[in-house]
Amino acid sequence: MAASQLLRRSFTSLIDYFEHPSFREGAERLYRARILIALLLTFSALLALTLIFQRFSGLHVHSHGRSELLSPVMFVGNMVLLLVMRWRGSYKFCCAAAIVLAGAAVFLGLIASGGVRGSPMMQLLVAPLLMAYFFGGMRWGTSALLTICVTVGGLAIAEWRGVSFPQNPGALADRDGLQILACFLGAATVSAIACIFEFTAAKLKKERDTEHGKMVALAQTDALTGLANRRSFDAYLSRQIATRGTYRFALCYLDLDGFKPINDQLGHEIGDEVLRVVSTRLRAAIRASDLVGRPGGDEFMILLESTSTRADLEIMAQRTRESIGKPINTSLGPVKVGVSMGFAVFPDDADAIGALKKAADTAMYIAKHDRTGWSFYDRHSSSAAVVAKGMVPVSLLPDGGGNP
Amino acid sequence: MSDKVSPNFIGNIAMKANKKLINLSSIVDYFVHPSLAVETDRLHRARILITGLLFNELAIGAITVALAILPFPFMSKLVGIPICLSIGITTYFLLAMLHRSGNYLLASVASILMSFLAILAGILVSGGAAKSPAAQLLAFPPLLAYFFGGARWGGYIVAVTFATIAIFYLLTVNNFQFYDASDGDNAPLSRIFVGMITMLLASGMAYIYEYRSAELKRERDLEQRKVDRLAHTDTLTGLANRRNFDAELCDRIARYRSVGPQRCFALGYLDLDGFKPINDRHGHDVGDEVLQVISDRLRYALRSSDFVGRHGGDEFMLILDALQGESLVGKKAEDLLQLIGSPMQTSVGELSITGSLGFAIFPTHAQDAERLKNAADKAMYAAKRNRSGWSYFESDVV
Repeated sequence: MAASQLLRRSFTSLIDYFEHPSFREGAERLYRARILIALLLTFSALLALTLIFQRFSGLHVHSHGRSELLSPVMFVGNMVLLLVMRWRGSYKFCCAAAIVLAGAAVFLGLIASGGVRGSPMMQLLVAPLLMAYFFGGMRWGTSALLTICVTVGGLAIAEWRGVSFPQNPGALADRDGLQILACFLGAATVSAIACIFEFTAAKLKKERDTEHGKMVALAQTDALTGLANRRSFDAYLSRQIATRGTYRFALCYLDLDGFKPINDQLGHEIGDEVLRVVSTRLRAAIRASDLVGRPGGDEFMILLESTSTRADLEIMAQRTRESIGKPINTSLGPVKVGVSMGFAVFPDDADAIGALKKAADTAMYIAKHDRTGWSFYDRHSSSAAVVAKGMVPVSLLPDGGGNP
Repeated sequence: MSDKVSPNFIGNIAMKANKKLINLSSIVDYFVHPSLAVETDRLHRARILITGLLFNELAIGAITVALAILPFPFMSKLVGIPICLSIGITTYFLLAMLHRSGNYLLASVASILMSFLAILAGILVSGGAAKSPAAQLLAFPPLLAYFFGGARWGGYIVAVTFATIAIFYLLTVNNFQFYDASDGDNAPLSRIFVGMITMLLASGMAYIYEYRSAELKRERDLEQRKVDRLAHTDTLTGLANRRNFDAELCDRIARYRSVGPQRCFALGYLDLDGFKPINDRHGHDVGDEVLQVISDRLRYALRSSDFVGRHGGDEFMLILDALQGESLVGKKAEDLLQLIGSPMQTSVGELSITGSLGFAIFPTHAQDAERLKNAADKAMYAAKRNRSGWSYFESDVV
């Protein structure tokens, strides 16, 4: 475990070493540049291994002089490209050069080992092609595809016209093994690049989803307190009403008493501090299944799930009132606010969103007027009493009243 | 995290596809189960899978017909036709499943395994991995698996492919004789042919990946822009929100201070009078309408170097550039108050509302944002108290 971590970290720092500072300007560029560096490093390591293998195994005795030169040249080319990446930071140039280098190596190998008809190198032609697609996008990929097709066609025609490509005697001897080795290398290259592609797409998808989540969160919450804003609270409420049938729940309208003087005398900053503290206390006072929203100003709304009896609601109201009534420490010293709550129960008091909200609002006005702290909506007594006292606007009455 | 995307993403993709290939796309859409359409990436991959399966079905059909009609050896017909028929029927069932229950993962894994088995069978009847041109196609199942099954299934299939190659190698080294149905003469040609097919398939896959990445990048940037906009504007009125306004105020003060004493601006605090009764009498919706109309009027009244934000509730803040002196400010204030006070049409008929404005001048009254805002706030309260409409900050106003 520790060893693999160490290996990974050292590989990452090796990649970091070859990075030019200019790559850091764009996340996408940095990502692709790092993959290019990793690819060049892997190639170099593989080539170095091949060189060592050639030096110490008996294979070089059989092989042709020309094909043996290929590996050192490729190795030097890769190294030069890595250094160019580090010093000049020319990403595009290095991409193109790496693709051309890989393509040239495959073609030289193809020519040195029997041409298109016999060479196992045919299977490696997809490597430069996929590299071109990944690093250069559609345009480079298409040009690479065309180039490869034309070159292979040219070689096939040359062979057909009688040009003979020298066969490596060693390779001829172990032809089947090399064929399968090439098959493996082809599959490995394609898999590696498919993995990189898939990883890129997954990364982008995750970023998109994160941004989308942020967007949804911003659109649904009140920026000051982090509670649900009016629109999302209304949406939640109407969803509840639509899905609950006759299952009971309570809606509570909550208005702060004595908030306006604080706001006016001590300034908005202090008012905001008070609202934040009140939101935190409200959130602590409710259960996880309930929802608090802030429609604006010093008003709050609470949706209380499966709270059916008045006794339950009274306990909750008492608790909330005590918790909010405690002194609030602001940067200008402690202040105190009170609270008035109005409850309406679905579906007893109202069974539509507008009527339910009006019922809770009416109950809240009564609580405020009578200074009782909280009150329950009563269809029969309160509307008449309220109108008689003249304290609630007529339009607030759930039976329609003056709403035009 | 929610996987749902607003429907217009999907609409856009469908529209774009429709423009290009109207017939194919409607056939493909027929097989898409509604549960696949909740997320663009899944929808896109499912559509590609369906397209692949449809082409597979067509090709298998053509091959079956060719095997049946053309004069192939009897043995080829005996082996080939049942194989083709079983692949065709499996493909049909996968398509039907995608249409009926939308089980994308099962369909994709089954397709990948099918392609792998087909290639394996091809290699086995044409001389093993060392001789068969079909060996080049072994790179294809991992590619498919990465695309349709994600990193996990990609890894599994890569392991299976490598193991298969290793077994072929061991068998070849031990001189195992594979059955070879092909005639040896055409081997090099078919090798080139298969090589070309491999390259075309790989290009197609790379194309799809690049396209998909570009699409995802676009969607991500779109979401980023939305987040940006939401974070900086008030959703109701589209004006700058409080945080954005405060940032602009601090920024402007820093800028003007560095330029020199000649730059100045007036900070205006606007509070609507009689907004709460409107909200209470006609409901929040009408209140929102009023706020929107006022915001539009403010935006209309301001010059491009001015800045306006909504501070929450019925309060607005204004930066009026290069405005100084009581008479100039007074003239501007009268204009603004007249504009705000003129009657407006709402859904419940004509309403009118007035405002109180308080002004403080940078750098005369205060040098930093906090004090400047306090000064403007005090001036606004003075205006409200005196019912004078607007007022100019004086240090003795409390």
